[in-house]
Amino acid sequence: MRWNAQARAVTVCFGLVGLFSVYSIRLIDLQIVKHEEYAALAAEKHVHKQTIYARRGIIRDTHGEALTENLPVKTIVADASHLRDPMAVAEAIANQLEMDPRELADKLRTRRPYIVLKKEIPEQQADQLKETIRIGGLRGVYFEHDFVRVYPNRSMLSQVVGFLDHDHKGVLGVEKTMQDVLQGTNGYRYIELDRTGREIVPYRGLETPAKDGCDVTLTIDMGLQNIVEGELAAACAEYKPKDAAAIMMRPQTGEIMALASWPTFDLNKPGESKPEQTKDRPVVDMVEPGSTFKIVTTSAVIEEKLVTPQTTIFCENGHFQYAGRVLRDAHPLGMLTVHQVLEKSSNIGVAKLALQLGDTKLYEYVRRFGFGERTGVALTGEIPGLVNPPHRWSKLDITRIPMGQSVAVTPIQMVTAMSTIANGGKLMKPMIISKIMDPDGRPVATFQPEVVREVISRETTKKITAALKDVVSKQGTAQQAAVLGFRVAGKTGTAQKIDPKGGYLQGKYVVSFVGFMPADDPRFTLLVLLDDPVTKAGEAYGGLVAGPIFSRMAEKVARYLDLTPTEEVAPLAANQKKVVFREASRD
Amino acid sequence: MSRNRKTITHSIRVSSILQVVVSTATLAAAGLSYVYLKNQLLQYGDVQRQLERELTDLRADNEVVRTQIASLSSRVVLEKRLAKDSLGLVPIASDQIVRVNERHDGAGDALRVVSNRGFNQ
Repeated sequence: MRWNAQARAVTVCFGLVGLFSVYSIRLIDLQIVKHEEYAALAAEKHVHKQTIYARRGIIRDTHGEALTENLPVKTIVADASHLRDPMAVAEAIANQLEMDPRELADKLRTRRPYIVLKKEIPEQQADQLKETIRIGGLRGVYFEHDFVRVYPNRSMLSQVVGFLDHDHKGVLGVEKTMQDVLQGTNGYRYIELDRTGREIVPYRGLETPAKDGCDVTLTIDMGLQNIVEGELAAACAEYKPKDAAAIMMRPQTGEIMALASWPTFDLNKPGESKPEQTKDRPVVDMVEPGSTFKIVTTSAVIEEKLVTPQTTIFCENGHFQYAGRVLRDAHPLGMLTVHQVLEKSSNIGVAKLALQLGDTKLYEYVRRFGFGERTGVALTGEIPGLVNPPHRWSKLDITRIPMGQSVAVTPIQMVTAMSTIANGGKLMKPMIISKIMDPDGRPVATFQPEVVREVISRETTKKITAALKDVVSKQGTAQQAAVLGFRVAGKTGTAQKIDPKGGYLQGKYVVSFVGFMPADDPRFTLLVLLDDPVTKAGEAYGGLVAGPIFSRMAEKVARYLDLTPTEEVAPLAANQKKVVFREASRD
Repeated sequence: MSRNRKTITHSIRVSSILQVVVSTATLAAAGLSYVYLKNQLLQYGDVQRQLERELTDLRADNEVVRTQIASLSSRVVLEKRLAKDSLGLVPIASDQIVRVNERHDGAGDALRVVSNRGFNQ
């Protein structure tokens, strides 16, 4: 066959069409079919996801004093694949990083793309390091954003505030319970980098701004906390207890004004703390409350109108046999009124009142006062305590529970129960968080006081308060809890420590005092509790150990809160100079 | 030379040349503007990046200073300084305080009642 010109032209045309068709198909395959795949591959090469860091919220006291701060620091990292001369880089920066140059060079020679060289480098030091790198024309060393949580008050309120782990997650206290509110949300943006690694700003892609964490305001007043912790530390230095706790609450609202736990630890060095130092004892420790628990039985019998404060009870001269066991009083007592049973803290008297009340009613009132259940305060690890139902009681329990044995309560339950008496019979839910504010200072949530239930009537609380006032008198068990210029109502507690092997430990006591002041218009309820204080023989009593601590704390608190004395203050001694008082202005 | 060729004139078509020149200049100007604007965009991008970095640094500096203020004004540090500087400050005893009752009758603060009996003696 001979190829004429037309045939050749047609053949060439078909050839070209075929060739371009193949190209077109390949182009369609690349541009349309595999578009996503190749776009992602290209993006991976030059598009980076840049994190915009959110600022963690601050925890504040009730007056806005910052209890936490965020100190910006840098983490120094290296990409060994970007390094030309690892030894030169190591020599240039090792001194500033306070590292051995050879050790650093060995790290850099691993050729890994992400090597953490040093963490928590202060901003100023990081700036100097950047300058060194810039001057030396070095590549491959980068600075990552990070922060260190700083606690200006160090060990004060440590168990309540809590601390963070290495991933900046709360592991204790409010840092943990309010983690979601405090942490905020990091934002991000997609950026493109040029060949030198600099961002090409006009090519910025999708951007989601960071959402800073909210600030959390506590009900704690650091002025009061300072007083309470200071006095508690002084008392612990004197009595060397195993541990101690103090809680101050505003009875009308349930707001916790101060909460101290001893021993304590430095929040800036959580790694150096021992487990017993990180325990928030007011909510995680349970103890037999001892005589402070007598307020429950006496309130119940008066509320049920089984007795009046003037009803007399024979206290068996300190020796009462029941269910084959002998119950004793600290001192032999004869006929006492119900009022005096509380005032003198008679075990036999309160046991007889409980027998009159019956186990079901006693259990009901114990639970109504909030024992045996968590209070719901926003602190980590709260336990409910231990209150067995009547069907699990031994025959003796009806006489032991009223005096604070065979039950286990947390200090916060005890102070909440006493606050119920101070608050006219209304049990308030303890509050530690007051409000949550956004980063611009606008309130996001404000927590309101919450009445859990009305436990007893106002009339009953008045009668109990009258007896509790006499506890802090010459006739009562807590004369040393008195405060100059004020009437205090309260109750002492001296409980033998439980032996883990069974029974009680001889000579080891948990001593406490819980009271409120001023008695007729309470501004605060305060509990002081010391576990196993070292005292002279026969002095380990709540009234002798915890009472004076309460008095010292309450006196300072009254001054701090500027409470007007309700009682006359004793006149000045003759040798004391009178203070010249001018008719000053209100300023 | 034929008569017809004599009549042919080779005049310059200014309008056509202008058309070409203008359109070329327009295209060139558009191209240069594009490049110029693109450059400007990149430059402003650098400025933006620089300002953002400065803002971040300022915020970080603020945080550092705020942390220092909080630490230096904390009770622990203040109490230590108070003890170290021996300023001689002591708490006022309760019996050295005179309390005045505020009047509630709107008579101002001209008259005050001292409630602490100790000072009336």
